[in-house]
Amino acid sequence: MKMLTIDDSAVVRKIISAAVVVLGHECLEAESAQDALNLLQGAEKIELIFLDWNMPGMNGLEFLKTIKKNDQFKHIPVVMVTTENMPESIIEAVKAGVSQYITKPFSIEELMKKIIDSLGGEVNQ
Amino acid sequence: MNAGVYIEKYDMISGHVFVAALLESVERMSGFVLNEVENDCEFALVHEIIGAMVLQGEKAMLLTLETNKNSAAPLVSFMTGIETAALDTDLLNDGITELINMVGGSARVRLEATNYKFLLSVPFTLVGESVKIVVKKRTDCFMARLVCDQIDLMLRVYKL
Repeated sequence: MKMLTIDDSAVVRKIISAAVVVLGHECLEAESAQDALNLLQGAEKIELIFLDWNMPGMNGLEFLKTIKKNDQFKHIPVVMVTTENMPESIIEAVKAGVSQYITKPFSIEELMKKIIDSLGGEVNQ
Repeated sequence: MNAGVYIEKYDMISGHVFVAALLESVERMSGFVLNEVENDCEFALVHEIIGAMVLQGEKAMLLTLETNKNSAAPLVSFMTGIETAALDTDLLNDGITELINMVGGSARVRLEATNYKFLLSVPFTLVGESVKIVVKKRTDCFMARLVCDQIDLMLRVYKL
Protein backbone atom coordinates (compact mmCIF):
# COMPACT_ATOMS: atom_id res chain seq x y z
CA MET A 1 0.00 0.00 0.00
CA LYS A 2 1.25 3.49 -0.80
CA MET A 3 0.92 6.30 1.76
CA LEU A 4 1.85 9.96 1.76
CA THR A 5 3.18 12.10 4.60
CA ILE A 6 2.86 15.87 4.26
CA ASP A 7 4.88 17.92 6.75
CA ASP A 8 7.31 20.82 6.43
CA SER A 9 9.50 19.08 9.02
CA ALA A 10 11.82 16.51 7.46
CA VAL A 11 12.25 14.86 10.86
CA VAL A 12 8.51 14.25 11.23
CA ARG A 13 8.34 12.90 7.66
CA LYS A 14 11.19 10.48 8.47
CA ILE A 15 9.48 9.29 11.68
CA ILE A 16 6.20 8.61 9.87
CA SER A 17 7.90 6.99 6.88
CA ALA A 18 9.84 4.66 9.18
CA ALA A 19 6.66 3.53 10.94
CA VAL A 20 4.88 2.95 7.62
CA VAL A 21 7.78 0.90 6.26
CA VAL A 22 7.94 -1.21 9.45
CA LEU A 23 4.27 -2.05 8.86
CA GLY A 24 5.12 -3.25 5.36
CA HIS A 25 3.91 -0.31 3.30
CA GLU A 26 5.51 2.37 1.15
CA CYS A 27 5.57 6.03 2.12
CA LEU A 28 5.99 9.05 -0.15
CA GLU A 29 6.94 12.42 1.31
CA ALA A 30 5.81 15.96 0.50
CA GLU A 31 7.12 19.02 2.32
CA SER A 32 4.17 21.23 1.37
CA ALA A 33 0.48 20.88 0.61
CA GLN A 34 1.07 22.09 -2.94
CA ASP A 35 3.72 19.41 -3.53
CA ALA A 36 1.25 16.85 -2.17
CA LEU A 37 -1.48 17.98 -4.56
CA ASN A 38 0.95 17.64 -7.44
CA LEU A 39 1.83 14.12 -6.26
CA LEU A 40 -1.82 13.12 -5.94
CA GLN A 41 -2.59 14.44 -9.40
CA GLY A 42 0.28 12.38 -10.81
CA ALA A 43 0.17 8.65 -11.27
CA GLU A 44 0.57 7.75 -7.59
CA LYS A 45 -2.31 5.82 -6.01
CA ILE A 46 -2.26 6.95 -2.39
CA GLU A 47 -4.31 5.01 0.17
CA LEU A 48 -3.58 6.93 3.38
CA ILE A 49 -2.41 10.51 4.02
CA PHE A 50 -0.62 11.88 7.11
CA LEU A 51 -1.12 15.62 7.27
CA ASP A 52 0.47 18.38 9.33
CA TRP A 53 -1.70 21.41 10.09
CA ASN A 54 0.73 24.34 10.26
CA MET A 55 2.75 24.61 7.09
CA PRO A 56 3.91 27.56 4.99
CA GLY A 57 1.62 28.26 2.03
CA MET A 58 -1.53 26.15 2.02
CA ASN A 59 -2.07 24.80 5.53
CA GLY A 60 -3.20 21.29 6.36
CA LEU A 61 -6.82 22.18 6.98
CA GLU A 62 -7.06 23.96 3.61
CA PHE A 63 -5.47 20.94 1.94
CA LEU A 64 -7.94 18.63 3.66
CA LYS A 65 -10.92 20.71 2.53
CA THR A 66 -9.51 20.81 -1.01
CA ILE A 67 -9.19 17.06 -1.38
CA LYS A 68 -12.53 16.36 0.30
CA LYS A 69 -14.18 18.39 -2.49
CA ASN A 70 -12.45 16.31 -5.14
CA ASP A 71 -14.25 13.13 -6.23
CA GLN A 72 -10.94 11.49 -7.13
CA PHE A 73 -9.36 11.93 -3.69
CA LYS A 74 -12.15 12.42 -1.16
CA HIS A 75 -12.20 8.71 -0.23
CA ILE A 76 -8.56 8.74 0.94
CA PRO A 77 -8.43 8.60 4.76
CA VAL A 78 -6.44 11.42 6.32
CA VAL A 79 -4.59 11.25 9.65
CA MET A 80 -3.88 14.72 11.03
CA VAL A 81 -0.49 14.81 12.84
CA THR A 82 -0.08 18.17 14.50
CA THR A 83 0.77 20.29 17.53
CA GLU A 84 -2.72 21.86 17.23
CA ASN A 85 -4.08 20.24 20.36
CA MET A 86 -6.88 22.59 21.41
CA PRO A 87 -10.31 20.90 21.46
CA GLU A 88 -11.76 23.41 18.98
CA SER A 89 -9.02 22.56 16.47
CA ILE A 90 -9.72 18.85 16.75
CA ILE A 91 -13.46 19.43 16.25
CA GLU A 92 -12.77 21.62 13.20
CA ALA A 93 -10.55 18.94 11.65
CA VAL A 94 -13.09 16.20 12.31
CA LYS A 95 -15.83 18.32 10.71
CA ALA A 96 -13.57 18.80 7.69
CA GLY A 97 -13.19 15.05 7.33
CA VAL A 98 -10.10 13.70 9.11
CA SER A 99 -10.24 10.01 9.98
CA GLN A 100 -7.73 10.09 12.84
CA TYR A 101 -6.04 12.80 14.85
CA ILE A 102 -2.59 12.53 16.46
CA THR A 103 -1.17 15.34 18.56
CA LYS A 104 2.57 15.89 18.70
CA PRO A 105 4.43 14.71 20.70
CA PHE A 106 3.46 11.11 20.00
CA SER A 107 5.17 7.79 20.58
CA ILE A 108 5.96 5.44 17.70
CA GLU A 109 3.56 2.91 19.24
CA GLU A 110 0.66 5.41 19.13
CA LEU A 111 1.49 6.27 15.54
CA MET A 112 1.59 2.64 14.44
CA LYS A 113 -1.69 1.92 16.20
CA LYS A 114 -3.36 4.82 14.36
CA ILE A 115 -2.00 3.53 11.05
CA ILE A 116 -3.30 0.03 11.72
CA ASP A 117 -6.69 1.43 12.83
CA SER A 118 -6.88 3.55 9.67
CA LEU A 119 -6.31 0.46 7.54
CA GLY A 120 -8.95 -1.52 9.38
CA GLY A 121 -6.36 -3.62 11.20
CA GLU A 122 -4.49 -4.64 8.06
CA VAL A 123 -0.70 -5.07 8.37
CA ASN A 124 1.53 -6.33 5.57
CA GLN A 125 4.10 -8.92 6.66
CA MET B 1 23.61 36.11 34.64
CA ASN B 2 22.70 34.65 38.00
CA ALA B 3 20.19 31.88 37.35
CA GLY B 4 18.86 31.84 40.89
CA VAL B 5 18.02 35.52 40.88
CA TYR B 6 16.33 35.33 37.51
CA ILE B 7 14.30 32.28 38.48
CA GLU B 8 13.09 34.02 41.62
CA LYS B 9 11.80 36.90 39.53
CA TYR B 10 10.00 34.69 37.09
CA ASP B 11 6.69 32.95 37.51
CA MET B 12 7.94 29.52 38.52
CA ILE B 13 4.66 27.77 37.78
CA SER B 14 4.62 28.66 34.10
CA GLY B 15 8.34 27.89 33.84
CA HIS B 16 7.86 24.40 35.17
CA VAL B 17 4.97 23.83 32.78
CA PHE B 18 7.43 24.34 29.93
CA VAL B 19 9.90 21.95 31.55
CA ALA B 20 7.17 19.32 31.89
CA ALA B 21 6.25 19.84 28.23
CA LEU B 22 9.88 19.35 27.19
CA LEU B 23 10.30 16.22 29.31
CA GLU B 24 7.15 14.75 27.78
CA SER B 25 8.10 15.70 24.21
CA VAL B 26 11.59 14.21 24.42
CA GLU B 27 10.47 11.02 26.14
CA ARG B 28 7.59 10.33 23.77
CA MET B 29 9.48 11.16 20.59
CA SER B 30 12.87 9.60 21.41
CA GLY B 31 12.52 7.48 24.55
CA PHE B 32 15.15 9.52 26.43
CA VAL B 33 14.22 10.48 29.99
CA LEU B 34 15.80 13.84 30.80
CA ASN B 35 16.73 14.92 34.29
CA GLU B 36 16.63 18.52 35.40
CA VAL B 37 19.97 19.69 36.80
CA GLU B 38 19.23 21.99 39.73
CA ASN B 39 21.23 25.18 40.26
CA ASP B 40 23.57 24.52 37.35
CA CYS B 41 22.30 26.61 34.49
CA GLU B 42 25.51 28.47 33.72
CA PHE B 43 27.51 25.70 32.15
CA ALA B 44 30.17 25.60 29.49
CA LEU B 45 28.22 23.93 26.68
CA VAL B 46 28.79 25.78 23.43
CA HIS B 47 25.44 26.25 21.78
CA GLU B 48 25.22 25.71 18.03
CA ILE B 49 21.46 25.31 17.61
CA ILE B 50 18.71 27.37 19.22
CA GLY B 51 15.14 26.35 18.47
CA ALA B 52 12.80 29.23 19.25
CA MET B 53 9.25 30.44 19.05
CA VAL B 54 7.39 33.54 20.18
CA LEU B 55 4.36 33.08 22.40
CA GLN B 56 1.96 35.96 21.92
CA GLY B 57 -0.71 36.82 24.44
CA GLU B 58 -1.37 39.09 27.38
CA LYS B 59 2.11 38.09 28.50
CA ALA B 60 4.38 37.73 25.46
CA MET B 61 7.25 35.28 25.83
CA LEU B 62 10.16 33.91 23.85
CA LEU B 63 10.67 30.19 24.26
CA THR B 64 14.08 28.76 23.34
CA LEU B 65 15.80 25.40 23.42
CA GLU B 66 19.58 25.63 23.20
CA THR B 67 21.93 22.77 22.47
CA ASN B 68 24.82 21.65 20.30
CA LYS B 69 25.21 19.10 17.52
CA ASN B 70 26.58 16.39 19.85
CA SER B 71 23.44 16.62 21.96
CA ALA B 72 21.04 16.96 19.05
CA ALA B 73 22.44 13.95 17.18
CA PRO B 74 21.32 11.14 19.55
CA LEU B 75 17.97 12.85 20.08
CA VAL B 76 17.21 13.12 16.37
CA SER B 77 18.66 9.67 15.73
CA PHE B 78 16.31 8.04 18.24
CA MET B 79 13.37 10.10 16.92
CA THR B 80 13.91 9.10 13.30
CA GLY B 81 15.74 5.78 13.48
CA ILE B 82 18.54 7.25 11.35
CA GLU B 83 22.13 6.54 12.50
CA THR B 84 23.84 9.58 13.98
CA ALA B 85 26.59 9.46 11.35
CA ALA B 86 23.97 9.78 8.61
CA LEU B 87 22.29 12.86 10.10
CA ASP B 88 23.11 16.12 8.36
CA THR B 89 22.99 19.58 9.90
CA ASP B 90 19.60 20.36 8.38
CA LEU B 91 18.02 17.34 10.06
CA LEU B 92 19.59 18.24 13.42
CA ASN B 93 18.29 21.81 13.17
CA ASP B 94 14.88 20.58 12.05
CA GLY B 95 14.71 18.11 14.95
CA ILE B 96 15.35 20.83 17.54
CA THR B 97 12.87 23.15 15.82
CA GLU B 98 10.23 20.44 15.89
CA LEU B 99 10.89 19.77 19.57
CA ILE B 100 10.40 23.42 20.52
CA ASN B 101 7.23 23.41 18.42
CA MET B 102 5.92 20.47 20.45
CA VAL B 103 6.93 22.11 23.74
CA GLY B 104 5.05 25.29 22.79
CA GLY B 105 1.96 23.36 21.73
CA SER B 106 1.93 21.16 24.80
CA ALA B 107 2.50 24.11 27.18
CA ARG B 108 -0.23 26.13 25.49
CA VAL B 109 -2.91 23.57 26.29
CA ARG B 110 -1.59 23.21 29.87
CA LEU B 111 -1.69 26.99 30.42
CA GLU B 112 -4.93 27.66 28.56
CA ALA B 113 -6.92 28.33 31.72
CA THR B 114 -4.37 30.77 33.17
CA ASN B 115 -3.33 34.33 32.35
CA TYR B 116 -0.56 32.76 30.24
CA LYS B 117 -3.00 32.00 27.42
CA PHE B 118 -1.09 32.55 24.17
CA LEU B 119 -0.83 31.98 20.43
CA LEU B 120 2.23 30.32 18.94
CA SER B 121 4.44 31.76 16.21
CA VAL B 122 6.01 29.56 13.57
CA PRO B 123 9.03 27.87 15.17
CA PHE B 124 12.44 28.92 13.91
CA THR B 125 16.08 28.09 14.50
CA LEU B 126 19.17 30.19 15.16
CA VAL B 127 22.37 28.40 14.16
CA GLY B 128 26.08 29.12 14.27
CA GLU B 129 29.16 28.65 16.42
CA SER B 130 28.53 29.84 20.00
CA VAL B 131 25.19 31.28 18.99
CA LYS B 132 23.31 33.03 21.78
CA ILE B 133 20.40 35.33 22.42
CA VAL B 134 21.17 38.62 24.12
CA VAL B 135 18.29 40.40 25.82
CA LYS B 136 18.07 43.64 27.75
CA LYS B 137 19.28 43.57 31.32
CA ARG B 138 16.65 42.69 33.90
CA THR B 139 14.55 40.75 31.40
CA ASP B 140 12.81 38.09 33.43
CA CYS B 141 13.94 34.67 32.28
CA PHE B 142 13.20 31.17 33.47
CA MET B 143 16.01 28.69 32.78
CA ALA B 144 16.25 24.96 33.18
CA ARG B 145 19.06 22.62 32.18
CA LEU B 146 18.03 19.08 31.28
CA VAL B 147 20.42 16.24 30.66
CA CYS B 148 20.53 12.53 29.79
CA ASP B 149 23.86 10.87 28.94
CA GLN B 150 25.46 13.07 26.26
CA ILE B 151 22.25 15.03 25.70
CA ASP B 152 22.44 18.48 27.30
CA LEU B 153 19.61 20.94 26.71
CA MET B 154 18.94 24.43 28.03
CA LEU B 155 15.34 25.59 28.05
CA ARG B 156 14.72 29.31 28.50
CA VAL B 157 11.50 31.28 28.68
CA TYR B 158 11.99 35.04 28.36
CA LYS B 159 9.19 37.34 29.45
CA LEU B 160 9.19 40.02 26.76
